[in-house]
Amino acid sequence: MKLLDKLRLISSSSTLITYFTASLRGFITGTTAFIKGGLVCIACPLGVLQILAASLILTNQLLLALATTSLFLLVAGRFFCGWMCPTGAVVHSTHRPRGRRWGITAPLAIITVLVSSFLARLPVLCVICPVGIPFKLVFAYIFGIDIYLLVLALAGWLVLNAYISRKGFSWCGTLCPVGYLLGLISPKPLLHVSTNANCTRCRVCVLSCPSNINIPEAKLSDRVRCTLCLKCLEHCRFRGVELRFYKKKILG
Amino acid sequence: MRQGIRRRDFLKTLVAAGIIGSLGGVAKLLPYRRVVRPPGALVEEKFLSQCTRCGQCIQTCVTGTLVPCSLGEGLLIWGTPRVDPLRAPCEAVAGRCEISRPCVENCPTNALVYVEPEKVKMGSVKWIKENCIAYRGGECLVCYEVCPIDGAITPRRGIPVFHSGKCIGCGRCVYACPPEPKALYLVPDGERRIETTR
Ligand code: SF4
Ligand code: SF4
Ligand code: SF4
Ligand code: SF4
Ligand code: SF4
Ligand code: SF4
Repeated sequence: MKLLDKLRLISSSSTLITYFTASLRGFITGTTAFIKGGLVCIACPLGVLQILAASLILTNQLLLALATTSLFLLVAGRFFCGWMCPTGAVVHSTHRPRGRRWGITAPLAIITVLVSSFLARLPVLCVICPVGIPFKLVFAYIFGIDIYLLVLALAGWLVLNAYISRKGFSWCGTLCPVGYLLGLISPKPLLHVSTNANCTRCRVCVLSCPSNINIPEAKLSDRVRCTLCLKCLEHCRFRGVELRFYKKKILG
Repeated sequence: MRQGIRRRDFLKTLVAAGIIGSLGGVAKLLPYRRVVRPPGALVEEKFLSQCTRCGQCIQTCVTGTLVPCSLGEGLLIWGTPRVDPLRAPCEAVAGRCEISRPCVENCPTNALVYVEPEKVKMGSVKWIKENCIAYRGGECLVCYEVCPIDGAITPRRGIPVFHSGKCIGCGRCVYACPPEPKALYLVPDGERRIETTR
């Protein structure tokens, strides 16, 4: 396994462990749909939209959490996807990019989720969210609720992911509606990858990118799919890709 | 090498999205258990559409009575809060949560709203007389002693009589009932739920 993927597994499992400890100690409450710690709260934007679609309700607490979340996204974009989401860690370390991408699936997934929430009058994805399941597992464990069905649901997702992956698509880059929405809110965050003068247009970065982004000529609509996984940076042989904060290079 | 979307693939994707979308629509038909909800919960259908399954109520509950419903109780209610009197009773009436209820205040979606203590009715208690110490000739009436509601339990010749119309379903009696297995359990029967979010 590549060094970056090892680091990713460490960082995403630390996220889960931190969540577990902080929940146990009462520093934070809630699951990925809405987490609160002291006066700060964050919410899954797709969760908020689903509640809106299912019940036509938007509360102050949800709006406040959405604002905080957007602020984080404007700074770090889909850093959550590349480095914190346990589901994402599995995807990023198992998926082998084959240069395939399907730009339409993720936005379509968002629409599907919202239309279906509206019809069912239920936040449908919140019920079975692959992003949230690892966190819910921890939550269920804390409360001593049986987790065997949860593990089964997780296994089901793994099978789906393996299937998508075999077809050459990355779950995070082409399907996950949550991740795509995070990207939509902030397509070009302060923290982002960019090519520099060293870039020879060899396209190695493009072929290594799970989201198949054409990094040297990335448009905003491509950047939505960038999970800041840094595989492009790792694979470039000319130090042509760098991680930037605003205009300042911080890695690469 | 940018790959355009082939028309066939596009249609296939649309069809898949349609199928998955309508699966969500029929998900409503899945069975689930009726459970005792925290005080001030909206009517079940609205509650399920508004509750984001975040667990704030569960983690901030003063007494620890709230637990997330397990997947086994129904996919649709999985992760939503229910009152478990075996862990603790709910103190919304004649207790610490008369005025301010952390479960309600922390609910980000208003799936739980504040209702006056007089209007709280989460369910009612059921009696299994075969397990009851008093019914079997012993001395008990612990349930009567802990019940905060006048007339919900009236003892007759040392044996408790339960009046489900008066019982608010707080679970104090269930929690305190000494025998094992307990002679009491909580059901949502007779619950009063909230129609609208104010
Ligand atoms: S795209 Fe979805 S599954 Fe992937 S890392 Fe982001 S939130 Fe997690
Ligand atoms: S552009 Fe680079 S950092 Fe972004 S998803 Fe692709 S490989 Fe990962
Ligand atoms: S009213 Fe108080 S005791 Fe009852 S569920 Fe809410 S926080 Fe818990
Ligand atoms: S706090 Fe509200 S939204 Fe969250 S789980 Fe409880 S009832 Fe549902
Ligand atoms: S009978 Fe039991 S559940 Fe009903 S109000 Fe009295 S103590 Fe609460
Ligand atoms: S507390 Fe339980 S065992 Fe005792 S009298 Fe009441 S129901 Fe019977």
